[in-house]
Amino acid sequence: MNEFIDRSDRYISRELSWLDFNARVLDEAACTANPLLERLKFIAIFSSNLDEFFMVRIAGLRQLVQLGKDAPDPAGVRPEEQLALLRTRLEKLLHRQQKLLNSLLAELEKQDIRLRRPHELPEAARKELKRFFQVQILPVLTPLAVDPSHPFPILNSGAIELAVSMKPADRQDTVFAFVEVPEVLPRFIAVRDEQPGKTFVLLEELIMDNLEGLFSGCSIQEFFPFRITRDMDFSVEEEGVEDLLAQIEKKLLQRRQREPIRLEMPRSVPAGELYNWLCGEFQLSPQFRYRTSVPLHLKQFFELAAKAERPDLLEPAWPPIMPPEFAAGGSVFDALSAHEQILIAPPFHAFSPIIRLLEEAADDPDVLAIKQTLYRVSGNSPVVHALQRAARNGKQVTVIVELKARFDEGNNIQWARRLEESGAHVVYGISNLKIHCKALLIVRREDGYIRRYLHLATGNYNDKTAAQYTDLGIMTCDPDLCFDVANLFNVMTGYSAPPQRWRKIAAAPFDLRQRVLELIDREARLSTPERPGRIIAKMNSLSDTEVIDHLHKAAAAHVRIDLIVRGICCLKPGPADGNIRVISIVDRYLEHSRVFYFQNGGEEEFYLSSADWMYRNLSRRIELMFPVESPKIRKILFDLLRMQLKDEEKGRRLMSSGRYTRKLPEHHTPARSQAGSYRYFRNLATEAAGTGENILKVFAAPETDSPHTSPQA
Amino acid sequence: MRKKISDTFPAGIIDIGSHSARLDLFAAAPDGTIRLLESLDRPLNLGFDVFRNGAVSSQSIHQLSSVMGDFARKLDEYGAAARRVVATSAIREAFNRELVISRIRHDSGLEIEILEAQEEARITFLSTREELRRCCDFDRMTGIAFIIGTGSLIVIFFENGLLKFYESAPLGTIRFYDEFGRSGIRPKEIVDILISSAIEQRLRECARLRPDQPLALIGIGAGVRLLVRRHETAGEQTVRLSVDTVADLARQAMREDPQRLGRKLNIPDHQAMSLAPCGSLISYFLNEFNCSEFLCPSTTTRTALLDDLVRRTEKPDATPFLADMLAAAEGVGQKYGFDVAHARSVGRNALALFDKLKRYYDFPPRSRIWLEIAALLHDIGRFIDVRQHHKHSWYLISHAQLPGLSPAEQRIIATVARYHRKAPPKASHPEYMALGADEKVAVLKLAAILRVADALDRAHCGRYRNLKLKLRGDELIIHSTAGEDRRLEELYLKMKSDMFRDVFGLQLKLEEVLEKL
Repeated sequence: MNEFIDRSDRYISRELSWLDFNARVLDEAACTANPLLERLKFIAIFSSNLDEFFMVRIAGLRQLVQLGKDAPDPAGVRPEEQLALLRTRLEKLLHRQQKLLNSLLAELEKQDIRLRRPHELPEAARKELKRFFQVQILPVLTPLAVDPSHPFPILNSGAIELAVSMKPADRQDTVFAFVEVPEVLPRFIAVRDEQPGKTFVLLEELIMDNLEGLFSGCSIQEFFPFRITRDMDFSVEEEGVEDLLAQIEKKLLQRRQREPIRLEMPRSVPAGELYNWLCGEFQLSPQFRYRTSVPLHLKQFFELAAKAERPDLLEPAWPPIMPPEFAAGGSVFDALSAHEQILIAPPFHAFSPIIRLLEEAADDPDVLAIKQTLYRVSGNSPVVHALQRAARNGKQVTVIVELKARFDEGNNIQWARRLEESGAHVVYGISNLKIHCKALLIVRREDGYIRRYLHLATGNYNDKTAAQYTDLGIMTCDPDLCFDVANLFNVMTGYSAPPQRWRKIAAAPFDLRQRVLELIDREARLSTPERPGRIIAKMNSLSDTEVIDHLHKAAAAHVRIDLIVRGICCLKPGPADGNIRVISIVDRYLEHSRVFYFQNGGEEEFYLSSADWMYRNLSRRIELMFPVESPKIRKILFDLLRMQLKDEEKGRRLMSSGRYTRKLPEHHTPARSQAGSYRYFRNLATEAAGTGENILKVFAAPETDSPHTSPQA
Repeated sequence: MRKKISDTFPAGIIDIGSHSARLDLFAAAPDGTIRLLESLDRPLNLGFDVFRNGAVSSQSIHQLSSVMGDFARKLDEYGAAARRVVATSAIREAFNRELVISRIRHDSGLEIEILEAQEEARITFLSTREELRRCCDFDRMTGIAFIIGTGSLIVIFFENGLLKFYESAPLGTIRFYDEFGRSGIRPKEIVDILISSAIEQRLRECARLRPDQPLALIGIGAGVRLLVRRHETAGEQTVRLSVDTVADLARQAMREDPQRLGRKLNIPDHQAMSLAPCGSLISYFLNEFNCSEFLCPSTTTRTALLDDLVRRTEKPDATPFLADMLAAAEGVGQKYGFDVAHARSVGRNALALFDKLKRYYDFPPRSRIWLEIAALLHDIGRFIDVRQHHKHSWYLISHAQLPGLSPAEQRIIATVARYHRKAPPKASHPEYMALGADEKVAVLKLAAILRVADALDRAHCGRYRNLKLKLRGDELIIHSTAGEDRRLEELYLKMKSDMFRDVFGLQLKLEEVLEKL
């Protein structure tokens, strides 16, 4: 029992912490300072997150229970207890989400954006919809009957299905059937109903309104929509890298057959014959069955936010700013030669310099080689196009493709094949190690000499997510960083064993964990009550128990620790840990950067990293942490961290109880760090363009702390 | 012609050792400095094959071929203009080394060159000397340097900064494990093997090392560097340690479990295996010799090869190892109890003749140093017997350890010394007949000079210290000081100038000149 108390004093259960994060997402939907459609988007994000959580984490926990693995997590909670706790918390959260959605829909109605059922529409509109159904929808639908000659079909995970029971005219017994609501069709169908604004009907409602057309000659008894979610926590059992590609494709097919982990259906469905039959077929315990009073598959409400076409109900746009170093246009190579290091901070900054760098490299006759890691890349990515062109132009293109990026494999395999066909050297990752670092290295011959250009970042080379995730990256020609990253590429391509040591970077699974622990321990060593040490660490998740223990020890040695952890945080700042402060920022952009600051007795160090402080990142992935040495960029990083630590609007504080403070302001405040960051970058760009002087002048304003001033003070 | 550094770089240097193949890619910067671009390391198990079975297995050849294919692609990636691919132990000891070379040439287009131990000793010593000159007064330093690889050990004795003696031994950090099995060897046994290999005795005998002579100990090799890495200081290439400190490190490496020590030092397991053998080696030298300090330079085979490449590019005519070659030759001479004054006097005379003649006759590029070494060592055959001593000299020189010389060069030098007396070359002399045509001509010219130079110091008194020579028609006049008794030299000159006359078409004549007042 003591063990349990000791553990829960220091740690928070990972899954419960994740659920807390999603609760903060839901808070954003409740926050009236956010415009209506933005709030609706947070409802969709909440559901999208939850789908993934069920597929991976809840499924994993259930697997542990099924295998009889009863060991408690670091917080001392056993898998079965976790499942029960999660169910209780989830019910509350889902109830809140449903209430919120209903109130949001009511408010949208006031703004002339309506959601209607077909039978609520005027007759003319309903008839038009029927025609639409017959022309556009019916040809796409495939009803699946279940009877002795047609066994229970494999239903796709995540799709809305309609369950139908009916009696054919020529038979006495009830026949059951399914109709999948196709994901290729829009979920929200606009209706012309003579009313101002916009009226939408949900696709599944329209299908249900026209079921007779699908099952002619049958008398339909019961029908309702439902959705199943399947366990997708697969692990690829690699034998060699060669067949990894084939294995993943096989796994994608197998995915359809994975065990259901969640069954969702409307609360209004009666416990009749169809319901009993369906539950009996799935054999899913009530613990994994959910009833809802709102539509299913709320992730798709993103579509409504877009189709409403009401910019006044969205956040004002923050058009991406061109980093001042590239503002003059011209070659990215020239800009890089003129500056020691250039910071690129999407989505505040435009992502285009990275695309431009790749495109220029593809066509530049002096470029010899391009190496890049690609993890999650958008479908029609300009990154992939540029790499293809480079390969066709005879450059040595090496692309490390990570096929194990969860849920994206299908997408990855297609463009990986396309790249190979263009002549690029495509390497499909390393057995058992997911490649998560983000690096781009370009080798160029200039006047007979080799010069290398490097981009390192906290986020993926994905132009789509670059508009939504806050990331930080640097472009540089630093020979030591280039040396390290070139060697890391050799490790990833299997060309070389890891070097004995790196010059500037730290890399997982080699020395990153040790380096992180050393940096924390060094801070503790240098810390005194009079001159306390200082750590600011910003990441997405913190769950590695070893790191947490070292942080607790450092806090005991008077080190003041600020953790800005967006998602999971298993570190519990106990009542005695006055020195540890944890905040989480959830706002319009997904906080995604990993920034680490160590005071180091005055010789301050800043690092950016692709890795969270999680076991998997420090031990099971190829990850990268690199120092930022440019005084100009260090200053910017410090200012960004300072703004985030002072974010009283979107920053929630983790209390010693393990719960987060909740903030629901009615209006945005100047403390909102993402808005502040955007203004900050805009000012930097304006100042650089306006005066042509050193942009550091911007920081001469009296309210700005110097890097040596503690942001917490 | 001197090449521009940017024409040579980027350059790739591949070192195929017993347990790994490594590629270092270098580029020149506009300021003339050379930077390491990438460093690749692939584990291989050639040592296991060769040290147990004498040949590289077909499986290992296949593996090596795949690694070389990757390395060749990497060289192409940078458009590497220059590339040097060398194999040290194990391939140099492999029975099927020619097959390995041919297979790699076919599969990857890379031409492997076997780096013989003496060449490895030479280039490594040169690089180390350059580095140590920057941090200490190396040219006044005397000591022992050892180069420990995974499959070979080279021990060098240097005196006043010049390499004087070297010896290689079939011992290496991982070779111990290959031969004895992973758990079969203990550091104490390694020390016993070193003692039994009589390195200490050879150094005393061959390099005339006095038992109490204070020596600097230089440890070169990746394993040694790992052992001392905690003592590295930023900005310093060389790690310089007191004897006590390095003795502690060596003891720790010998005592502690390699894996545990590796974790402490943040070294992967396979590299940590080399710590105990390196500790044992250091311990052996500290116990056997009067070491006064320990130095560990940053030199590796690849940096040594790079320095060699830069030297050849920037200063193709420079001969930084010349003094060492002569010091080593004198070391060999000392070992066989030569008359140092006579040897040096003959050397001086021979070079004076050579320098006069080379204005009129063609000589191969490095023939001056061949002649000088042949002159220094021409009499060492006396160690065996005065009778037929020119033949004994030939044998001893042929098999002496003379760093900086290729085997072909060493053959020429031995043959030059062999003809310093008695009959000129004949068809019945196999040592002469085995030479190539150009080599035969070189031997004839140099031996003709050596005979004359030897005759001029017949009295072994160094009388003709500063030879004055004049070419007059078909006569080469050798001036001697007036009033000296030169009957002995005249007699011997007459006896030994036939070959000179035949080769150069010149008559030799001793003439008395009045010394200027």
